[in-house]
Amino acid sequence: MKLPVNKIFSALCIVLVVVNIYIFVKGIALGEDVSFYEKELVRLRQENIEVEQNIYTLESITKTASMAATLEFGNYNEPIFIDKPQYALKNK
Amino acid sequence: MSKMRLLLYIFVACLIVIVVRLFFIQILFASSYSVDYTVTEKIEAERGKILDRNLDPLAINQTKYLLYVKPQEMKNKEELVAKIDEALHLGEATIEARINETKEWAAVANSVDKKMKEKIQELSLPGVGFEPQRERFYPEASLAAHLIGFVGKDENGRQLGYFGVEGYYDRDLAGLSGVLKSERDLFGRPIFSGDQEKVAAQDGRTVVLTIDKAVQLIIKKNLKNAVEQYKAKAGCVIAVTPKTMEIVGLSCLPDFDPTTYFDSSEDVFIDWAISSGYEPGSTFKPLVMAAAINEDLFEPNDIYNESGPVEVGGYSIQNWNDKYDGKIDIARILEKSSNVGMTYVGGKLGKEKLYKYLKNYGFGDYTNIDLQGESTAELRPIESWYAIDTATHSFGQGISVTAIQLVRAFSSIINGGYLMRPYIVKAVVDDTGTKVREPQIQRQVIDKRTSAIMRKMLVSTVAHAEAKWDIPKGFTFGGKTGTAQIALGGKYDTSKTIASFIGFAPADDPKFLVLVVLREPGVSSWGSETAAPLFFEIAKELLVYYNIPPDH
Repeated sequence: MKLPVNKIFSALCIVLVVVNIYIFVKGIALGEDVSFYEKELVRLRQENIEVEQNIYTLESITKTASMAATLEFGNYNEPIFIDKPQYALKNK
Repeated sequence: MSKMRLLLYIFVACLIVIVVRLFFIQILFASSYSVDYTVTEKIEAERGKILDRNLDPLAINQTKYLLYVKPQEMKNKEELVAKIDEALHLGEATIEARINETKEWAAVANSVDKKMKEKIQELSLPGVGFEPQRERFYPEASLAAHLIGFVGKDENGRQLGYFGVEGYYDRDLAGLSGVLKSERDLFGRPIFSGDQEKVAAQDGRTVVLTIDKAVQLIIKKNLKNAVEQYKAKAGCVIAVTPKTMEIVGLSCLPDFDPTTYFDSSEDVFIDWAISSGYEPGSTFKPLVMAAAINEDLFEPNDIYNESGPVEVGGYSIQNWNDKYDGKIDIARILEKSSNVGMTYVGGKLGKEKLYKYLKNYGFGDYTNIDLQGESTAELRPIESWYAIDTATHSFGQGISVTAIQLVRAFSSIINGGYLMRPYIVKAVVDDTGTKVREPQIQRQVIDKRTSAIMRKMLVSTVAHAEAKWDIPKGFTFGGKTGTAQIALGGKYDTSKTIASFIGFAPADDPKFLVLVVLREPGVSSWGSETAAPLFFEIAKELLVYYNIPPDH
């Protein structure tokens, strides 16, 4: 039986063209994904820095001290202090 | 010619055109074409954090934005300038001058925060854009300014740490930038089948300090109050653990906010606790006394006859109050801070031995503290000493020391005699793990017996001092006051002094040692009336913070 070489060659060419187009389109889609994740990574990193900054600003002892002063919380209204050593001796 | 043959010729012709074109692009002009699709990006390394001993942050990173304008894309310059000025208040003339229309790109404002950026973006001004800038942020503001330093720029615009830990550990903190080389298409998307080359950035190391920010706050708050109360020109407090020479707190005033360091004058950047020498005055006396006792020249109970002023090298040496008590014991010399008594002690010790001990205490040398900008102050070579120098050095005049040198030497006489290297970084953390720094003994200056004697003498000095202080009840302190006149133009100005106090507690097993220095206090020139009360205010709070129980 004579092989239909021309037909097989044509079919192979069509398959190769389709695969090539598929890889090309897939490559673009993956490139877009990489680009998206790159941007997302930058955004998350940025957000992380901003959140960290806000947390540490709120947690700072300088801010706490300033709030304590505003609320008039100081040594004079602390119930146990060094001027009353009997409290400390009790725990010795 | 058949149709098929014609088609073949057309295909072959197209192929030849493509091959020739590719030959031009890839072989002949490869270098000029490669930049079009190969994008090289610098991956910035994250600067390492600075944490206190409880891992609370003292320095982190923040993002600010550079506002730029592309003059070719803007439509109405006047309107654009007016709107930017309305938001940033830079001045219309300044903004206009920065927009150079002959260029493609012009930087208008640095350090624009996120809120402001969003506000300007809402205006939808054509030609206006933002570029992120990584900057340093100090959550505790000026709390430990001199210790931490700040991050500025070098001559090439790169981040560089200046002063303090930022300066000393700049290489560790900075890290190493990475590079990303990738082939991109017209829209900037990576070409999946193209070349991708990535050298990852190595983020900076995190450094953990010996500083406790609560102690730092106690110190700074009290120092600020004292500088205002006593009208001092400047002030400095150092708190250390005498056994290890860990710095637990250091504050000098005036200071600055490291985030906005550019708003302060350069003078305030210098940490004079490590960079400036001063005459220590009577706080120096215990060091000379310890040397004499260590040489078995005296015992604390030995008797000395304090009969009056003494003549040395043609100069008359007097006591600070010009009072002399006749026969007193050696311990009393420190209690009443007798200059003539210390002249006697220094004389017995002799010039050579005194010099040897001063060198052993580390005066005239770097302490090698891990902060940028340390100086050695000045200990004159023994060959250039006059007869009067042995006497004046014995009571802390005529010699220049830095505060950190004095703290280190003083720690050695109460910690068993060990001269330790002062340090501020407790651990360095990176991807490979944590490197912990151990206390480092440099040498033994005096023996343990002398150290025990000195602790007792210094306790007695506080208990029987001429001045009376508000000492917390139930606690035993050791310490010594100091009042040194400031030499100006080769003469001492009696109206200008450096008032100081160095003390420790609990006396038997000191948990902290604190040096307080006030420069030119206006209310009283005496250390006993200015620096000492400040010391006891700080000590009172430290006792509570460290949960130290009363000892009697």
